[in-house]
Amino acid sequence: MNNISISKIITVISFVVLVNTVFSQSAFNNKTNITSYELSSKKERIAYEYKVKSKLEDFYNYLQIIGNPKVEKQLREHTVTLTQKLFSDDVEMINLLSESDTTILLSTFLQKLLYSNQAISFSLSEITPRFNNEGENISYHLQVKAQDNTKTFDLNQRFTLSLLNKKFGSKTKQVTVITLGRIY
Amino acid sequence: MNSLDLFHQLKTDILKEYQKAYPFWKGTLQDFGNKEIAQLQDLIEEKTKQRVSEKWVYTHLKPEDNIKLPREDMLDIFSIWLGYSGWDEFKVKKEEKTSKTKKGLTPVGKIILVVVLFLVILIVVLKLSMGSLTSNEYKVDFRDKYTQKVIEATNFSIYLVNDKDSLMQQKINEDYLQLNHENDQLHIKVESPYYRDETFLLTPNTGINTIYLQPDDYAMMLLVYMNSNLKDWEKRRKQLEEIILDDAEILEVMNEDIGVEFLNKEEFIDKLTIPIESTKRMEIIDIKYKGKGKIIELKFIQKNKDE
Repeated sequence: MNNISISKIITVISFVVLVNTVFSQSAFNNKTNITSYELSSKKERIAYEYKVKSKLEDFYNYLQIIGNPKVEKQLREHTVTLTQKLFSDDVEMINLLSESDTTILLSTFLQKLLYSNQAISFSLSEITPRFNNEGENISYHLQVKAQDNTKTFDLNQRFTLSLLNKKFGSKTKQVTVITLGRIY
Repeated sequence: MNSLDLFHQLKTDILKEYQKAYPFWKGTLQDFGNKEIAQLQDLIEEKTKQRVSEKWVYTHLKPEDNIKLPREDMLDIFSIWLGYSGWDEFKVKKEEKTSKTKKGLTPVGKIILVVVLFLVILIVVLKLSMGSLTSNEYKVDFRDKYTQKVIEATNFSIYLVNDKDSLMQQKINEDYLQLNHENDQLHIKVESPYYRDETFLLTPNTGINTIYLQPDDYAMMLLVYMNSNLKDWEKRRKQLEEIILDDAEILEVMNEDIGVEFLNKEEFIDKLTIPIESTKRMEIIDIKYKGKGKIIELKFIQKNKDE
């Protein structure tokens, strides 16, 4: 086995270890899910819907950095970690890089994007968060551009609002957190 | 009708006045986003030549219920915008209207009411006439100590020293801000999230007083990071590590001062390390330090995309 192969194996193993570490850190063992009914006011609900929208935009902004080969590798890898922190779990998602509508695990998708040699851009529109008794869901229109190839998707994504005991240095405080979920 | 009831009435009238300019707005003050706040600020500035801060609107106008009455000088600005001479007249007019609709006042009660109203009007008239006769004019030009550039009036608030509740009204002219006060010397305190709080002694009628404000280095650094590109990201992380305490709480606030997200130090550094769209829209509204001058608390809002 030559040196290049060994280095590739080490890179892949490192990535798998990194993914496991991040998701185990964000596994929110102490979280309690809350529903829209538990929000005290309509204004509070609107505020959280706005925040969900913002998280979704952050997600696709991060994907754009990860999928840009011109950005230095270390920063792209760091962005993978930040992207995973937006989710509570390694969720399933539509494979946005595939010609067919197949599903893929988020961690695998991020790995594919990280090793992509072509710049991939994501553009969102018609973002509609729904925060009702049917469950938390956000729908949107997505355009994915890779070189001359453009593909559009009408997607739905789950999100969760939870109470979490979060660490602030030596203190712990119960706060509300929004995490993104499955993309379908 | 107590002071808070009157303030609530003022808020109702502010919304009506706003809707005269923007008749398609069907929401309430609580629904105001950054866009509506900016429109309101412009409307007020256009008519009164005075600018109210976004932070003030968030703190006092957006909440449905107010615990305490805001500073009277600010109430004056809004009352003037609504066509009154100030808060005192607004109060009198509203109380008069209420008293007209009330029935069953005893004759003694009516007499007391008339006397009180007369006294209030007398005080208002005296205050206005004294003010206009003895008011001194202070012209001030605020500049950044490092860049020497003029600082926008929306980026700071001016208070009278030893009078915490007294926010100075500012008249914005082309090259300077104008403050009017009967004092022969004016001791002011200038507060801003991006500059250090400082006090200054002003002398009236002596041309434009140029005041240099010392930037708050950490707040400025955060401002730069929020708008930076992807270069030197590791260096930025190290610098942020240095200026933020481990126990720091960073809060993103929205409508009615609702804290929509609490970030710890690591999360906040992560957010600033990769400056994406939402980071560039961040605006600090309050910052607190502890110990060796490190950040212990920070509040920010996220401006709308179209601003």
